[in-house]
Amino acid sequence: MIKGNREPVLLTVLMQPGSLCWHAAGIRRDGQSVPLLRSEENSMTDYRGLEPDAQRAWLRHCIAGVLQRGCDRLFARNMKAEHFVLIADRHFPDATEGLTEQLADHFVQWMINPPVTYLLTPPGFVDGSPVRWQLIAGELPQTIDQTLHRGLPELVEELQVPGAWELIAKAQST
Amino acid sequence: MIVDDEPDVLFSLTGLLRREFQVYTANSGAAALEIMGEHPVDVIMTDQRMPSMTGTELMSRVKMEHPRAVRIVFTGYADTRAVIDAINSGELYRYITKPWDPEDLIEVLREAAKKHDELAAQEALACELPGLLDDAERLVGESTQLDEEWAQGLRLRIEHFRRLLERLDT
Repeated sequence: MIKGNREPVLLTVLMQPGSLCWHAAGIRRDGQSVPLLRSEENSMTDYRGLEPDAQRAWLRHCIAGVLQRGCDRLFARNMKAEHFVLIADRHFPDATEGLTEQLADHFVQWMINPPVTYLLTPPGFVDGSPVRWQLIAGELPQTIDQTLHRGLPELVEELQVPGAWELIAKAQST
Repeated sequence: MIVDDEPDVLFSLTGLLRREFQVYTANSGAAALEIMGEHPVDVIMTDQRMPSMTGTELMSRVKMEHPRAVRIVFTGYADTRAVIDAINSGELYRYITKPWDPEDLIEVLREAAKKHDELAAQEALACELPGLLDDAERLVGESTQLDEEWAQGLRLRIEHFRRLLERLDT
């Protein structure tokens, strides 16, 4: 349920473990995409070499920060996330077995308002029509599913336009 | 006061809050303490994970050096033992996990500012009321015009307030 009169959108994070980077965007209910933020390549490297629990904790920290920034940018546009959708186009490299599932379960259990759905797609996110994905964790209500099918191809096209996204520099390791 | 080592977080939080609050920002715990030494700060909100000084370490210093400041820690980690310990030891007013809803954050900060004002009012009351009670007690003792039954009632009320004040001091 959205308070006030802010436009509800899907806050969608596209994670590209191949280049260890991410993009965050809103998707309106009609499928129109709203590019918001992107990271530099190799901004998600620091989980490598950590213990299994620390890998999950580091990625959680990273993705939670992305969601936070996304919420802030949506607020400035008079929008509000009604659902968080995390989409990875492959598993994280050099990760302990099952990290994707553990990370996805963690987000789904930890964040309930708005809820989280974690999806895994083929490399590049879209490899044909209709868009295909594997549900890793969370629920995908029909309205969210339809909005995602409408909006994801356009959003993926926007990945080719770097200037459409606010670049977030990689923070120093803490 | 907002403390975070990531400049874009400070920038977006400042944009969110500046209409309603006077906002100071610092990119480290040391910088935050320096600013707090120069300006009164009612509410301080810090990231937990920062180089050199963590959020909870900063809050321990703030509790000692600026006890009136209401203290909030935010973090992107779900399993931060240090933050849980800090809450249980009474050093924090709130622990917030990312992502937060900007509207909810503003509401939390309004409540924190109100909490600060309540504490400041309580402190002022505890400071000023003893003098007022001394004056009232002296007037009752010196006056020959008061009904004795009424004066005795007033003395009992003064004693009652003194006992309440003792509780505030503890």
